[in-house]
Amino acid sequence: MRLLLFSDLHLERGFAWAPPEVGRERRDALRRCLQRIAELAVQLAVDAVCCGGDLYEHDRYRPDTGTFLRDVFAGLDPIPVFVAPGNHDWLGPTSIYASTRWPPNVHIFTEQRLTPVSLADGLTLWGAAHHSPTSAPNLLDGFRVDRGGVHLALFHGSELGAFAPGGERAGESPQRHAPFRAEQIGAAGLHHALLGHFHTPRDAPDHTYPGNPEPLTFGETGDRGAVLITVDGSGSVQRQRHRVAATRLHDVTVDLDGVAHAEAVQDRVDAALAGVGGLVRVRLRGEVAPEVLVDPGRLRRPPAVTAWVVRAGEVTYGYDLAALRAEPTVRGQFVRDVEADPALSDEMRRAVLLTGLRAFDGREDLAVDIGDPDRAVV
Amino acid sequence: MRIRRVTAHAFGHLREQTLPLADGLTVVYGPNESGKSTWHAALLAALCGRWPSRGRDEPGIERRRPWAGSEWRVSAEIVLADGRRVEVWHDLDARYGYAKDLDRVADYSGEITGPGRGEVPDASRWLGLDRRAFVATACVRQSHLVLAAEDAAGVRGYVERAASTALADETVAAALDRIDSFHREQVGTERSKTRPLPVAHRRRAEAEAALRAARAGQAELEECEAEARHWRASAQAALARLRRREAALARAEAQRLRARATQARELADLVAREDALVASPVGGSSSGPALTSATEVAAAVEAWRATVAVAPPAPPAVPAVTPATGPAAGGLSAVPAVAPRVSSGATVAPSAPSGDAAVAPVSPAVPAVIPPEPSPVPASGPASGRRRSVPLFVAAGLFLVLAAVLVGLGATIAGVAAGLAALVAGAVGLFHRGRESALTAASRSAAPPSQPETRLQASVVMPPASVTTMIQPSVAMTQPSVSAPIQPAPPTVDDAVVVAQQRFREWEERLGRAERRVLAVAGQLGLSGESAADAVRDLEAWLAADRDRQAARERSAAHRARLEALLDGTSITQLEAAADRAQERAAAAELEAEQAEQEAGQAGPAAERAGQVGPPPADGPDSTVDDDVEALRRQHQEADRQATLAEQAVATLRQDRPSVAEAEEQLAAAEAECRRLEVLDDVLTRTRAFLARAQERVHRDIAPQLAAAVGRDLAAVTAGRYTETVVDTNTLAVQVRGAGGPLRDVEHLSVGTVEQVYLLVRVALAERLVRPGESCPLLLDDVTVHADQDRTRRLLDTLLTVAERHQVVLFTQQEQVRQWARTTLTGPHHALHELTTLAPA
Repeated sequence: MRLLLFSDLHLERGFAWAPPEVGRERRDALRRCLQRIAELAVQLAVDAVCCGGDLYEHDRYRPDTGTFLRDVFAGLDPIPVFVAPGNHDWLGPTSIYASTRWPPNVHIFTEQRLTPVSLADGLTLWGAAHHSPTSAPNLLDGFRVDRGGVHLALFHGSELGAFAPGGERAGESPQRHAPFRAEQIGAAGLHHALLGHFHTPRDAPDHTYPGNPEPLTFGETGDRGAVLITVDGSGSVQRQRHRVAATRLHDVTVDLDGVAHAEAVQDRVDAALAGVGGLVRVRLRGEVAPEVLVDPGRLRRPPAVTAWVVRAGEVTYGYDLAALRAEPTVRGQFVRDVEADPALSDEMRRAVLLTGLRAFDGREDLAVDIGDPDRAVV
Repeated sequence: MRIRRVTAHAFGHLREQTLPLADGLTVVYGPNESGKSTWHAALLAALCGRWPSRGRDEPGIERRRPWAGSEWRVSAEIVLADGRRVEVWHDLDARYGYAKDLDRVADYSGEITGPGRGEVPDASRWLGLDRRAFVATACVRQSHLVLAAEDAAGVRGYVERAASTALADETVAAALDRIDSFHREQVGTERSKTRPLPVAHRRRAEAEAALRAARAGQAELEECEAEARHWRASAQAALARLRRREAALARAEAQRLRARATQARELADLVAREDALVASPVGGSSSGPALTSATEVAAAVEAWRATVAVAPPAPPAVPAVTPATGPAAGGLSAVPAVAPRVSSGATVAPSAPSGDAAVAPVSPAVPAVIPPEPSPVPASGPASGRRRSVPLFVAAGLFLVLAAVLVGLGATIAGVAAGLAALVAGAVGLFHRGRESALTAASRSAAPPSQPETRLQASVVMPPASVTTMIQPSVAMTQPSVSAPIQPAPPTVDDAVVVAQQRFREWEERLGRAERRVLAVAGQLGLSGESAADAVRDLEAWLAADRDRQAARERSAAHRARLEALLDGTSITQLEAAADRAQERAAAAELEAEQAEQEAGQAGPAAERAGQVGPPPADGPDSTVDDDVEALRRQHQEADRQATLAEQAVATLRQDRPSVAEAEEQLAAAEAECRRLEVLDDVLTRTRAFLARAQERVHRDIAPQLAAAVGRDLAAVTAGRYTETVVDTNTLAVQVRGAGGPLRDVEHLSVGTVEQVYLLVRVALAERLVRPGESCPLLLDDVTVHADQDRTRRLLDTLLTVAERHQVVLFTQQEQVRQWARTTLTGPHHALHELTTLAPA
């Protein structure tokens, strides 16, 4: 039995870091990604497609979202498609799952408890749905398979082992929807759990998180995508990951050490982005001469780059703070006072120093990049 | 720090030349183009190295590459306050330099090299300055003096710059102004509605409102979609009910139509059969009805029968009293035996030859068919009975008279016998009279051939009681008739016989005519009867057949009428086709109902609500099928109308609905801009506060120091005119006054005095700005070039005073200064170097 697992596509998601035009491109990319998943399912001749939830975002769905999903899934017929709604695409009276006329090959799990579907003789898939955006219970509490054969589970949940004690998993939502412990999988008689919710991919012995198949933000790591799950008669699972993203978000670091004038900044950026297209996050770093103006807003975006995020928070300026600190002047006193103020954060201290020294220098660029979150510009 | 010498290894036009400098005042004299500015630049380059970039404070080093050769090098020997003697050496072209101890092996390059990339050793750092601050502190140009003398705030501005940035950059006041300006333009306040921060706040509020509207629209859309699904499900459910009902009706209609078609087909078959019966030939060879009507035939037969029925008794052969049966039998024997058939298989029972036979009871169980006599029986109709009863009554009368006579004569026995005979004769007469009445009724009932068969049978079939009833009145009626003839004188027997014979003959004539008539009619019909009786029998058979045809014709007409009514202008085929169509409609309606139910069911929860809407019409006593259908149709139309309205609302909402995701992105952008501006506002506000506090603190410290430093030499350089100096803590404004005199702003003094005070301030600031214990050299470039002799002299005297504590190097082209130096700078603490004009290259 060959199953193609994916989750956390987050169709219709809003991208807070992106201006609306970039957001629209990202949402188009999410749809293309689902189409690629469908193409992959046909290409691999899988026996079923499984979605571990957060297929779309209920609060943001568009008038044609249901139609799009229906058409893509109908195109897979006769390959069955199993969907376990998650916390973003929770099943409710007004959800797309309830209002769309699904083709016969689509099975939406509707109970907030694991219910069985027979995939083949001796192979049962147990699935469940979230019925609200929050407070989904542990779906494995009190659950035990009631028949023989091989058992798989498909649901949207948080494996608690992924969290450090009292902490949060890096890059993941701190909200623990449908929390469970990995040891509950085997205790329930399940051979493997096909999961969604964590965007960071994870191939554990008894469960699989495929990760979000299309980039949702910059800095995502890991081999995210769709996972071909091959289950044998003993319930053992073989996994093969496939990249299905329609686009890629690039992270490029540009070293500005030694740059002595603004045009040299542009030259460094152009050189670093040669051959890179699409969406790019540019991180400027290094020390430039104090008189150099490093203004992300004034940089020219290479034509191949459709949109970018430029961060200059790591750029330092070549002020001789030691000498300035020693000056018996207002400037020296200013430096000393700012450096000595314990109430200032490092970022604020840096910003105040730069602003003050630039003001003494008679410069116009008094706006300092101070830890702004990523904001893409086109 | 004291500079012992400067060596230009390759700098401008200078090559391997050294300029030694005294610890006190060194005057470097030379006319234009003698190299004074080159030595000034070489001195700065040897101390500080090249400037990283061509800034506004770059002292002209970049313009003094060697005229020949590739090397560009300078060096200087300096002595620090701690006694170290150091050579600072710079390869300007390579941006490389070092600082080495001249008395021991020690490299101090690291001590005086800044942290930035490309930095080279900078000897001014031993003074606690950097190259920019050193130039600003140590270098005094004539323009500075002019500015100080002519600008009302010149001295104060200089002091401020010195206090702010060691003369390197803007004053703190300028920095604060710049921050304020930037803050005002790039951030703004809520009062300035067009500035970035209030604009950003407004846009954020707008974006928040837009997002709320988008989310409300999303919620409204979800609700409308649910409502539309509910109504559509309701409409589909109502449609399903309607179609179910229509299907049932169509099925019923199909059944009705099929029943009508079947009935019509049966009627059509009946009509065909009746028509065939009507068209079938009836006995005889000619087309009788064409020549002779059934009425004529019936009339002929009736006439014959009527004639036969009224046959009089045959006249007796001898006038004697005989039993009535004799003449009747004899008379009847001449009449053809006719057994009139009134219907197929039914024969009227002929009159019995005796009265006993005639009144024989008929069993009720016997069918109304009286079997015919096996042999011809003489007709014994009422006429013959009457014929026999009259003589009997006469005979009875005679016997009664005879009995009376005999009794009267004494012949009692004979009289009694005669009386008995009279009784017998009267009794027999009464019998014959009753039978006559019965036969008359029977003959009358058999006569009309057109009467329905059932009536004929009813009249024929009479129970014995009926027969008795019929007879008794006859007897009753005969009583008067019996007594009546007795009243008048009775006729004689012979008269009676004659009358009887006459009547018989007349009857025979009538009979003959009747026989001929029936024979003629039979002949016309092609019936070949041998006798009139045969002919009558055949004719009656013909009449019966004719009645059958007529009946068949009537039945056919009735069937046809029913058929026409049944078909109602259509045909059986059309009826069947209509039935088929109705059946198809039923099937289509069922299919549509199933589809509608399926669609209603797929609406999920909406379908459950739909089930609560539009209950099926009640089957009340007054409701009809049409009412039901109409009610269902109205329900469906209403639900469909509501669904259509809801769907139109959904379409409108979808069309106008803003994207929640895009609204969120707009809000995120607006919030980011607000956050950026708020952070910038915070940074600028904090920066300004730090600057203001630093300014206040430094000014508070520097003002008394500056006043003391200036005041120390003020009396000497002003020849005692001014003895006291005051520096304002807030504004750093310098004021002076003489002994007991008022404070006067230095800017209000004479130009020469201002220049003197300015130089003292410069020295005082240089003393303050450099590291404690160190002494900053002063490098003056033609500071007296525009001064008159008196001002020049006063400046030089001031410099000489300053040179007691600081190394001063004065570059000048003025002859007055050279002369002053020749005469004044005589000791080893001072020096004069006279440069010559350069030879053309």
